[in-house]
Amino acid sequence: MVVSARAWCLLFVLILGLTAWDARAQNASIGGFVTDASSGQPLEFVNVVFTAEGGTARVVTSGRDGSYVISGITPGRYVLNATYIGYTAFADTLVLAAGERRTIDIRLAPADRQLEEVVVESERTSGAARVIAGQQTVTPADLEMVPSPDVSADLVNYLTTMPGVVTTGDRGGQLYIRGGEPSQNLVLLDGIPLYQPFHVLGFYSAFPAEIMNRADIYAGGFGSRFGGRVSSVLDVISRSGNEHRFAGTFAASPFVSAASIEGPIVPGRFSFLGSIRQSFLEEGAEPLTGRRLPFKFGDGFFKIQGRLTSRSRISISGIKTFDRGIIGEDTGGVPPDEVRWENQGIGFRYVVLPKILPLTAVVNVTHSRLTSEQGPPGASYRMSSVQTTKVGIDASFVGKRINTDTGLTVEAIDLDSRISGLFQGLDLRASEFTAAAMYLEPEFRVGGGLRIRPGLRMQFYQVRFDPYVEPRVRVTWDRGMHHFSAATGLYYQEVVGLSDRRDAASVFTVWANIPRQESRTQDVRAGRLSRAVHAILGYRISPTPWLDLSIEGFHKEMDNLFVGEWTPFPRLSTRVQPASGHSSGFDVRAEFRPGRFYGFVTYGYARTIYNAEQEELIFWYGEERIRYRPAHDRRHQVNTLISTRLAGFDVSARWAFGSGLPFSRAIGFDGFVFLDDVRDLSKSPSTRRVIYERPYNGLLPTYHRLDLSVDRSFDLEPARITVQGSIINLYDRNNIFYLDVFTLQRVDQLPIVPSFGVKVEF
Amino acid sequence: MQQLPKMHRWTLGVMVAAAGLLAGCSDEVNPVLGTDMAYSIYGIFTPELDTQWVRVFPIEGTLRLRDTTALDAVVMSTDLTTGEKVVWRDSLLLQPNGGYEHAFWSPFRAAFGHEYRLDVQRSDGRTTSGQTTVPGRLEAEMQPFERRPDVVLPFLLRGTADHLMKIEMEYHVIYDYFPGPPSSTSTEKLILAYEGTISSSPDGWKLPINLSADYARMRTILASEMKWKPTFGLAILGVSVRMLVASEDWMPPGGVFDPEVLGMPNVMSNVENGFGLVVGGYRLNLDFFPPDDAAAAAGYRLLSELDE
Repeated sequence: MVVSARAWCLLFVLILGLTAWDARAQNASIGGFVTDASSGQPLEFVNVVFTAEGGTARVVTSGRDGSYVISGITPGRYVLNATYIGYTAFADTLVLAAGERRTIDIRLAPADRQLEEVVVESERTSGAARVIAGQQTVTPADLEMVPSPDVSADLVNYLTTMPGVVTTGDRGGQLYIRGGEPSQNLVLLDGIPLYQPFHVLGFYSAFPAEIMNRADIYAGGFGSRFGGRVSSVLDVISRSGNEHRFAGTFAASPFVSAASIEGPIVPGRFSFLGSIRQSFLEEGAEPLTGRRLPFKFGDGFFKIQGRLTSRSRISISGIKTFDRGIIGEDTGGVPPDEVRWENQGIGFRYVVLPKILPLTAVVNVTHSRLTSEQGPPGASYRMSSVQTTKVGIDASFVGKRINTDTGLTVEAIDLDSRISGLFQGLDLRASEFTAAAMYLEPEFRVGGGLRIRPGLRMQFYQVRFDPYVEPRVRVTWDRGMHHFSAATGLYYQEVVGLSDRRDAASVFTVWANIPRQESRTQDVRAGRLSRAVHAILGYRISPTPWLDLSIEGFHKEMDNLFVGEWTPFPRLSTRVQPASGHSSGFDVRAEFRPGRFYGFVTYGYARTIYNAEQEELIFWYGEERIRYRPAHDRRHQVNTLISTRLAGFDVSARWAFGSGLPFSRAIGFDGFVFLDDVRDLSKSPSTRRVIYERPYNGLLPTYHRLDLSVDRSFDLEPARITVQGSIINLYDRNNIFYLDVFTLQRVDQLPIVPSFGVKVEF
Repeated sequence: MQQLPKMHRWTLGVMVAAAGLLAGCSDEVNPVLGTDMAYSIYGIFTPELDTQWVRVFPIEGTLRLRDTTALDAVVMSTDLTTGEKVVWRDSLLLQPNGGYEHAFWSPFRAAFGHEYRLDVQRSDGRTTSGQTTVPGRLEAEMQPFERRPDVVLPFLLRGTADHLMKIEMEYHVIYDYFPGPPSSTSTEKLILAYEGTISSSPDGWKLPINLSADYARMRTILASEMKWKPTFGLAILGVSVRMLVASEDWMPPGGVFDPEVLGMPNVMSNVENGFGLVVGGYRLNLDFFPPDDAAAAAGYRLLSELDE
């Protein structure tokens, strides 16, 4: 939506002015950082309560870096309290003078478990049923409960338990979230964009539990802070290294070996964290699975974090991942190629609580690059790269009645590709362009538990003055045990990932600007940006402290998409056609936490329909547009997980079910001779051909799998040793991975896979 | 051993039961629906060739390379105009991918205006058929040129034919380089598309050859290559008109031959109980020399001038 920028800028200034006025009316303020006293780890979502004599209390929640600011304080005597699940409460008394800006860092000591501190339900921020307008927070503790073939946990295994998250199999690293394509997901690690963060083997990603602080998954309806994608956001925040002592882990299993180390650089002030993983599938896992696993992957991460001054923090993070593998199998048709990709990213983050204004300011500078190749090693015939350098400033203003987040980002994007005819008819040249974005997102605490968070994001692509304006709204309403949430918004995407999705093994993705094919059309071929409108409505109830129930409905309208054209000819190239689509559905979730038992059951229903506009459709089917179910339209998903402790063993079991995915059935196979002139047909070339019925009219079998893991830990001072045994696909279900679209031969996912692992922590 | 609490037992039991139940659900997939149709056939009945050919592909359940095994097919054509039936012979074609394909042939020349039926029968009796009519012979008749004001040389193509497609003119011309030394002439053959120019009439087809417009087109082409000297112009050495005279069923949607469009089995197909295309047609080539007065009126140099 290209709208006069003037009107929107005026609105921007008005809201900023309101917030500033709210701030201007303030007298004293306090601020600081909340950290774990034993490790120095910043603590987020800590309730900081500032109570005046006479009982009036102000409550704020610490932010991502542990920062908090309370403003608008009239001079006087106050009690400062901070509470957080698992930590001993903090209390302090202070007297503030007029106009004073006090810095108080809060260090919370971990609570003694034997004292069994009461868990304040409102302080829980994660959980399978704790979804707020499409957003769910995941912590390392959540990851540990999902069975995996590795003793160390990984974020991607948890993601696949979430309703609305569809993977096409246990390899390839492609996640579809509520009807969106993988390239429509924005994935960030400490603000560093990662374009292909999921490893070639589907149990692993760039996010092992060892480096994670938390991850926020927005399945849709995300706020104005995020942009450039039309489907979802995965925002991963790494934890910091221990500022007081050295610690580390080493883990080994037939699939992957991993090591991490952390410790102080300047005790109590600067720390580091490093992590590295390497796969050993060919050496270790193939004997267990009984089949060849031609995959190799690894990742490395580092972070340096510390306190510059009493009111500022700094961190530098870096990540590198590599993957290579042959995802398909030789089914007698065209032998599959090897695909390789490598992510590199580095980010600098500076957080400051300025004395002159009651706000938190963050400066982020990141650089990331993805390089993908397809073809024999050393002789790739396809390549795609995308490189992004981003500088952003974000500020959070804290007022009595209005909190406001605002920010400005400038991004330089560099795209290059060599696709050797992969997408015919597209002119994908190398391109560099600059994009900028501004956003403003005030939060109004209306009262009665109602919070309204309207947002406005203005996206400037390629230095055009008239921005793409993206209005968004998120609303939450807490009424005791009842919680309501809603979100809606408009989203645009300039840089798109093009893939031949005719079968799940085609994972090579070309990152490009919206390709311009024909300017006379009024669709994506004329360069119109991919666009989506989201709507979410949710309800959650917590009838008891150990039970959460939620239901959430969603709808996404998508325009200006590119999808692969259909063709009857078996070849590894395609043309792209414009399409639109919509996805709608709902999730129902139940989470149980009685005592030491933990479990959840989720059901997700989603219906995704695309409308394609391939020019040949009118000749093939008599229609100019055709409605179809895309290959990732999984209608029904059920996930159940239980985790408990038995006789000193931690036992987890997970059962996943998914209804069959659509595929294009063939009527038969024949040959084709192109008759465009009088010819001697004994000399005319011919092409093998697949005679398809209507696209995606068939359904693959249902998917279901039972995974089990058992582990036990032993304390051998100074180390802790964990031994794990697991079985993936316990009843050896033949879950199909994909059907080769040309030979229609099937390739299955992993069979029953027993595994074991050992982890040493010190 | 510690006994599981009731909820644990219940939940685990449900999970295992459900898993066990679903473990029995079929994991089979049938990707090929199958069909009763036996073959896809591609054939052209043409008076141009003294041997007629048809390519025959069995419709199978897999995409495989065929070997030299004989094809279970009997191919027979019937000249519906005369009643003559001919059984065709099989011939193996080795393809670049190493597989073999079958082409059936018969040593006869298709007759103008005759209707033919081609049947390919399998041993179980299933038959795939195609039927077409070879267009009638067209006789070209040059008409007196006209000034419209362009100089147009009309041709009348007498006879019966359903479609005339891929019409093009080839001019063999003499030009001179610019700039260049005097009399540095050379010759070139230029091909001009003539789609959309032909029209039908009760006497046949009318093909107006616009000598003036063609002159302008050729001038543009040659000038872009420094082959146009205004003081010399162009002289015609000869003109050829070529076109495809096609049967009624040999007409692509939109008039464009695009393999991506035509590759779908149900597009431009006239085959019964199968897929493919059986058509009739021939290439019509007319070689002529425009009358001097017409050429001169259109601005061409006359050969007689050049001889001088």
